[in-house]
Amino acid sequence: MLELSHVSKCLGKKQVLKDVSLQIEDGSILGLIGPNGAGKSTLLRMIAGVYRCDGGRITLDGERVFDHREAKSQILFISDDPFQFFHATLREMKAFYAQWYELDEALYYQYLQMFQLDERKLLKQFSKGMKRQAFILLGLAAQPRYLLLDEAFDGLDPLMRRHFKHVIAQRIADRQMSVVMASHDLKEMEGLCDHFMMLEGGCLRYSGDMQETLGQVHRIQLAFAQEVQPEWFAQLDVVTMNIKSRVVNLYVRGDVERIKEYLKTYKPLVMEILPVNLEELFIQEVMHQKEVRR
Amino acid sequence: MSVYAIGYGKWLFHHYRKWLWIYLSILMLVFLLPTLTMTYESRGAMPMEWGCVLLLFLNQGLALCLPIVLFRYLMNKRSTDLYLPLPFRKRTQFLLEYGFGLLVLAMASVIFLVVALLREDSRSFYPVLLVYAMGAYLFAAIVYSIYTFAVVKCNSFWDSVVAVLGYALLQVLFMSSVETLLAITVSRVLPYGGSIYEFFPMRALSMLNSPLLSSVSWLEGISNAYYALQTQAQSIPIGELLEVWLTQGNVGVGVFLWQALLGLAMFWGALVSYERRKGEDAEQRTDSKWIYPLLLTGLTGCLLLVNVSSGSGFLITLLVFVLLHFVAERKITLRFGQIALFGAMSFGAAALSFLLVNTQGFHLIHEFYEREEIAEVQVHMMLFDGDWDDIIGELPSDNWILGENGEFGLRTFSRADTMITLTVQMQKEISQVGTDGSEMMGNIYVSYILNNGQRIERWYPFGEAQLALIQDYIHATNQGE
Repeated sequence: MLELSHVSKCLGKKQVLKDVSLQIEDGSILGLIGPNGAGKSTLLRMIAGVYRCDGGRITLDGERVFDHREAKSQILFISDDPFQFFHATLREMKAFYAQWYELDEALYYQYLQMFQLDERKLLKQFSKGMKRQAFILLGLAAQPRYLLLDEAFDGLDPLMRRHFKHVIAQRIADRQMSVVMASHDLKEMEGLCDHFMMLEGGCLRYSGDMQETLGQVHRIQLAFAQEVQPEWFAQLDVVTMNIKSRVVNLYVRGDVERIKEYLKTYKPLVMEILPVNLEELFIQEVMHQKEVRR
Repeated sequence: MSVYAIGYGKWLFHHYRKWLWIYLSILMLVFLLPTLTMTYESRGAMPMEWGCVLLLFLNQGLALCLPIVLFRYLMNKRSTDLYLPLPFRKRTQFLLEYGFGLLVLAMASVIFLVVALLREDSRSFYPVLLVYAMGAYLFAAIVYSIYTFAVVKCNSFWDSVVAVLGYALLQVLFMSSVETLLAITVSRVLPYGGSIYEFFPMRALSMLNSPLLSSVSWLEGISNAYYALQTQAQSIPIGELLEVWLTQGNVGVGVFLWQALLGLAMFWGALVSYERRKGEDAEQRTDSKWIYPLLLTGLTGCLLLVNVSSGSGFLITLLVFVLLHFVAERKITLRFGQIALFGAMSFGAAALSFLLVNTQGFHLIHEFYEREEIAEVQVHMMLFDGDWDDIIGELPSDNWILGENGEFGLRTFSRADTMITLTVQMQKEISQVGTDGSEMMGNIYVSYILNNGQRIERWYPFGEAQLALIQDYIHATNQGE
């Protein structure tokens, strides 16, 4: 199990991550979301061993990951803009990764056909999306225990995204591989990840099971006969609240039945409870944090 | 060594194979072709002389480039994302890259030694060539360690280039500056002769010399020893050549030991710096005190030592100082600290120069030697105009000869006690009698060989005021004999 325990990191004078704690179980797909500058890429690099923790520790089966040979041999990191050697082909990059990981040749050629890439072509001649596919292909064929993907869906067309999600799910099922992916494409993340963590301002805002967490946040639209008073909702764990005269839009955390019972006491004319998707949760949470900081 | 480390070593050779093949081809071309085709014009040329010079340049040039090439992945964020997550300890990764560089550095020496076997005259000379190649490689490895230390401290490619070139320049400039400062001091304290080698422990100071310059001395040593021992028959005993080269050359065991220690220290410093290096430093401003602050202080200090008394040189030094700050900061800045630093360094250089002159080189510089210190003496005199017959009459003895162009002096060095005593006395007396430049009739040159084998030179102008003294000296030497 990969464990992050009170991890902090400063880059220059800016504190990028503050007291982040998390456990990543084997065989899970963890989605890492957050606004720009939240610390997602930094966190991935710390797990990969590129950056050292300033505070806390990152361990794999109890062993620190940073500068640890055995731990790093189980983790493969694909950055948002992967580096390739000058004049390297996909075949040559495969040979490079095969040195350090248990790269499965059969899988490699299977994915090569699926993604329709030419392994003899120079990588610098690939488009952005093709390069992304190439490195995802290498990452999957290398069969690491933990695959870290930064901007996983960036540049992939819808068909390739479908292939990618199918392959990921298959690899997870077959081999207990765990994937940690950061992306701004929340719709795709919601469909693929079983766990997620949301970073904002370097802090961990949400983490846990995707469906469970989304099930804990509700969007409630209310209409009242009289002017709405904000104090009415003080007892609720409100994420954001939008009041326009007698109509209220609320994003609230908590048990939906208890929230309904509470709101009924104010006798709304209309009360509609709608499910929240990941994108909505993300937007509302970011807005809420900005309000809090103001 | 883990399987990953072995794999990384193999991968390094695979990754650089094209460049290794190109380098090998160049080595074969530049060593093999001249060795097989070159015929020496004079019979006395040292075997593989061309190869020795080439080996020096190749080793030093490659030692300069290799660290920049091998560790350039540290300077780029994208490449650090690829390299740093690889399953090694940072120490292992550094040692593999560094060790690979040492192997590449050895290629030129190996080819040199292989090619030397192909020529008959160099085969008999082989022990000397082997010792030379080993020494040249050692110096190259030390320089390579120094540059690796500099490169690992940098955060961008261009900083690493500036650092390596700056470290190379500093090596050349430091001893040159010290020698120039001491030479200026000696010339001011003793306007009539004397050299820095007479008064200062230059052989000991040469241990501070850079491995770059030591490798040049290493080449000069073998060349000087060879030509010094060369006979008409051209059969120089190898053992004798090695003895002369290693004991009388500028590079002795002490220099090797000191610089090997320096190389080890730099290697260790590079290793520790690599381990402590942060992944996020790539593409950031290089702020290590071992790069721009050291180069700035070192290069400016060296220039100030040389130029402190020269107006135009001082301005050039100031310009270099400002330029180096610009390169370090990437912008033109003018801070009080910079001005204060330059001022302090200028004052320090001027104070050192002043002290050296006014304390006569910390009491190390002296004009005269006592009789007990001198083994042999030689005296020459030069008359600008006129005839020696008018001054001395007949030649005092066979020991004195009259040459062309106004020359007059002892035929050879004299060991006679009277001659030495009289010459020492004459030197002291003539130095006390001043001359008006317009009255100068000629110069008198006094050479001593001291008991320790050191040769001392002094010269004094003489005019009408010193003529009687000279005449008395010559007649006294004649009577003494």
